[in-house]
Amino acid sequence: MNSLLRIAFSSAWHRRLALSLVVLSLALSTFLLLTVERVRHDVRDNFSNAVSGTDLIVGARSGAVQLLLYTVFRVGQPTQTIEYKAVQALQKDPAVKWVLPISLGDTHRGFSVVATTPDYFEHFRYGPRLPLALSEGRPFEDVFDAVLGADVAQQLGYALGQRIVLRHGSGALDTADHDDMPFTAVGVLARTGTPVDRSVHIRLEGMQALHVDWVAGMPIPGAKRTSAQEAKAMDLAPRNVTAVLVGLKTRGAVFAVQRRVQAYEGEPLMAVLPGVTLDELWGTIAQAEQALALMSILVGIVSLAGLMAVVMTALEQRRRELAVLRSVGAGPRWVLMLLLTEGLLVSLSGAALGATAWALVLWAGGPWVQAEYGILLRFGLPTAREATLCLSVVMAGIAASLWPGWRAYRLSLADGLAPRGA
Amino acid sequence: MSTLHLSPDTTPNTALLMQGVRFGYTGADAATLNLDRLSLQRGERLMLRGPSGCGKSTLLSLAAGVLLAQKGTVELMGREWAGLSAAQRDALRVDHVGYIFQQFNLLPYLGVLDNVLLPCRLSKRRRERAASVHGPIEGAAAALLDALELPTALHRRPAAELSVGQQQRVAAARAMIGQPDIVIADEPTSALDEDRREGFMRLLLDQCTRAQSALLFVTHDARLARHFERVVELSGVNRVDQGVS
Repeated sequence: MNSLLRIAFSSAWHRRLALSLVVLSLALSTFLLLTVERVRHDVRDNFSNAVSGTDLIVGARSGAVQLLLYTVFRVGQPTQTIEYKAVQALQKDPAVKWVLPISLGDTHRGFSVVATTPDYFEHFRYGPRLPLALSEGRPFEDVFDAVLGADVAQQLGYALGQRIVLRHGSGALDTADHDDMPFTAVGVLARTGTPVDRSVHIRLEGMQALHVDWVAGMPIPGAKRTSAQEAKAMDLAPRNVTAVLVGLKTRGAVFAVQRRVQAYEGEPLMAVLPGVTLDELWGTIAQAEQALALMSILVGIVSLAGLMAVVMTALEQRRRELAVLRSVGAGPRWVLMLLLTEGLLVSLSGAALGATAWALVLWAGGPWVQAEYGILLRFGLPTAREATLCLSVVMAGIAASLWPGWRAYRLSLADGLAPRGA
Repeated sequence: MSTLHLSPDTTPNTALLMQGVRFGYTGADAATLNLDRLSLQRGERLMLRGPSGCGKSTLLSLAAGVLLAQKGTVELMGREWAGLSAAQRDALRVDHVGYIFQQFNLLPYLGVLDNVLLPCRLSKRRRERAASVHGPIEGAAAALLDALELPTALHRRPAAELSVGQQQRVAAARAMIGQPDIVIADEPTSALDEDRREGFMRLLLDQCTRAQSALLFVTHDARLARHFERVVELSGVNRVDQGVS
């Protein structure tokens, strides 16, 4: 067995140029398979982690997926706002334990600004129902206090006391800066691995103050800018919010509350169940995922065809080699095993190379993906499913060697010690 | 060795015996070989002469048990090839036969020593016999290569880097390692020039004598006849060939 492996390795090494191309393409397909799987898995994980304690999300009537994406993950189109009266009505519902009104729309250097109530720090849950924790400072109290997500503080190099100017909208226009009312960082949240890390949290009253002079997304032309001190003296009770995260006393009441929200008479509202809506979302992107997975599998098949072609072509030139092996007692079955071992070595190298490249890309590209898309890709040991994918590449490599192996078997039987055509 | 059965013509001294052998590649009618009797005693040196295309390779494949005769018997060391399974034939071959090809004897991707050691890797008997004389089998291979006058500096080189003459000597060392009972050589000198041919013959015959191996040497070159105790013209024993040429 040892000598078989040794001879197979030496022989493959002798033809390393052609075989290395096969190894590369197998590595590529392994890489694709693993990447598609990891992204698929981790995106789901990220999304489910981000809303773990919330029973319902209430917002203006639009698409359920759109509401969820915008309010929780801050992607997609902004939805219409709802009146604050609706929040107060919700709070009075007997089944409701807590409500977290949130108001979105402003940004700070690309990070979203979330205006909410101090209850946010008490009731918001992420991951396995973990509460938010401050790594330094305190929750917001003053109208112009801000609490930073872990990534905001880290990437912008902010410390407590940092003055922050918020910008209206997504941040393309610097004329939309709220530079007359700067905020002060009073706290930094511990890392959660959710969109919270990439948010600046302020009070709803702060959001209200920012926009006292604004109408329809623009400062009122010619009007005197209200100063921060003047704003504080005004009535800053919030009038509109983007959405409300709702926690119930018992989960069993979720459909009843949902119905009551839909029937709210003040304005058209909708209430979505985050879990159900996520499933709906996965349903819509499943086809894209399947297309990606199919492509990776196709690359795999092409690689295997390449493996077969390269080994098969070389076989004609190796008839002499097979005759020599036969003369020293190698049987046709030994020759078959030699070819299968070669397939094993090639596909094992391909899978190992692909997995290594995948790990490197996760390690090097993970932070970029998180910064760009807010999705945390785990860097770590492959899951059982990922290991199975690697293993199936190797098994497929061996299977693809069966045909050349069978041909070598036939050749060594037919040629014996007198190879013809070599 | 429980299946060892001796035919009336076999003595314990017979290394190879072929009787009434008939073989054709494409069917019974187009016979390539039709041979009444050919025998080789232990330690004997037999030269089998014939022009190319007269069935020499076929005869050697039959002798080495790679091909099976359609009629007649071929026995090696008292065991009939036809009575063995494919795996048993492969084992018997490497245990008792050293084989030298006309050329391209070596696996180009293995080093010289590894090429010589191939039979020891696949046969316990060859490995043990090599070790019994020299200790480690690498020592046996090196000693054989030295005896065949291959410079020590070349022992670790890839086989592909050697000259044709050197390669044939490495092939001889591989055929001889572990003292097989019979060495079969298929025109091993045809790729060598005159001087190298004489040198190769001298070294090969010396080693066969020392290992007490029988030598079945096939060639078309009548000048080599003086090295052999017995010379058989293949055209004289192969009745198929007589009719054709």
